[in-house]
Amino acid sequence: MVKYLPIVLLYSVILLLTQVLILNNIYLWGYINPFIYIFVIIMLPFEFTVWVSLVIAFLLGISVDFFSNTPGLHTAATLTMTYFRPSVLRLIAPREGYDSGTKPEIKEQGVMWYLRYTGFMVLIHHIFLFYLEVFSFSSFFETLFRVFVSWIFSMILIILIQFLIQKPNN
Amino acid sequence: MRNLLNLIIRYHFTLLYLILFIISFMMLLNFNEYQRTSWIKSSSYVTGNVYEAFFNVRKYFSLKHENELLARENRILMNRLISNQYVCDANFKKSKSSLIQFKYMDAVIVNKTVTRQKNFLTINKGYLSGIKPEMGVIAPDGVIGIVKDVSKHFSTVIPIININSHISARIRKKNFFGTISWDGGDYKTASLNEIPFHVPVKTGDIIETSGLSTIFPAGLVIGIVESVSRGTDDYFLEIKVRLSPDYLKVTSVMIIENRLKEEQTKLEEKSDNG
Repeated sequence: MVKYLPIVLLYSVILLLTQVLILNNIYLWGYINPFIYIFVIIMLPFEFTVWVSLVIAFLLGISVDFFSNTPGLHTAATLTMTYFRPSVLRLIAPREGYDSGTKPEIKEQGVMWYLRYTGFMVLIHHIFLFYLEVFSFSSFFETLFRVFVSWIFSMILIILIQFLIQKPNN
Repeated sequence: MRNLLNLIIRYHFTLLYLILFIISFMMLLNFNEYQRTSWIKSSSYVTGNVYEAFFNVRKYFSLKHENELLARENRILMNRLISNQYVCDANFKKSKSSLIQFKYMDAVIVNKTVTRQKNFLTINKGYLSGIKPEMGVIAPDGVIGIVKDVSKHFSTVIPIININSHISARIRKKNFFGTISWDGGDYKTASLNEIPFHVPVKTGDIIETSGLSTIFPAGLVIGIVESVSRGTDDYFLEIKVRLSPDYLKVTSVMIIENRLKEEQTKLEEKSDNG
């Protein structure tokens, strides 16, 4: 687990800067604000225990919050997503379970598995993020629409990143 | 203790999640103006409803106190009525104490009878509070009667529903004067006497105090005409009046003091004797 920490830190910095410097300034059609920094949590190897993941999520979320002037907002959403990660993993686990030493990547788990995994994770994050942001259920469906549209774009970007960092098959 | 430790170890990540989530939630509330005001709004919506439900229950327990307050307030307002003031022309030398002719004091009925021929009421104020015999007594909805005897802390009142009671009355807006008396029957109705045949009295006319006595100011409601008939008498109508106050229910009354009464009666006695 410790050997992965440097690369987690590296990805965190890169994705954080991309998020706050570029993506936070993008509001496609006034609705869409994709979030890719959560890829750091999504890419964590299975062997990461929950509490380490939660600490990483907290630090990551609070960094994003400091840059985007929304203290607590991204932190709460990212924490929740991380907390439910074991449940999501259990829910979509293949019949024979995960092989030890594998990572949640397309190359190792397959495209369908990866789509479902990422889909659930991003959905949890976005639901919490958007509803905490408006902080009421009065415009429930409008917020739901925003969640859905941003979810599509976040998914596209995250899958692109996944393909980008994938080491070619030898 | 060991169980607790086991529990903590078993759910340590849930605990950690909750702690961290609460921290971020507090940040969200403390550093973001919008979320803070929304939070306050929705929490006050909840607490507001709870408080209101509680208040509705509590209201009943304070009704007695509220009634006392209202009686006191009524007294103060009655004392400010313009009709209490001694009517005079502009040359009258104005001094504040002499201008107010009628003064009101509030009291509570502590004992009463309504089913006898000679009914009495007892009120909880006596001469220590400034009550004297022959003062008028009214309820919020109409005239009650006249003070008869006074002790240190109590007074007895002869209500209209006492066969010895006679109160000067008139028909509102029709300046005809008569006397209200009671024949010992139903406590809700009395009769208006001495109204001659030719007077156009109708059911529903309001009977009020005439102002011809030194006891009541003019214009206080006594009752409503219930029926009019040619009686056995050759000159006068037989008029039944439904009394405004409900003697069974009435508890809070006002006593009227006429401050110019002595002056008036003395003058009248002098003229009588002379």
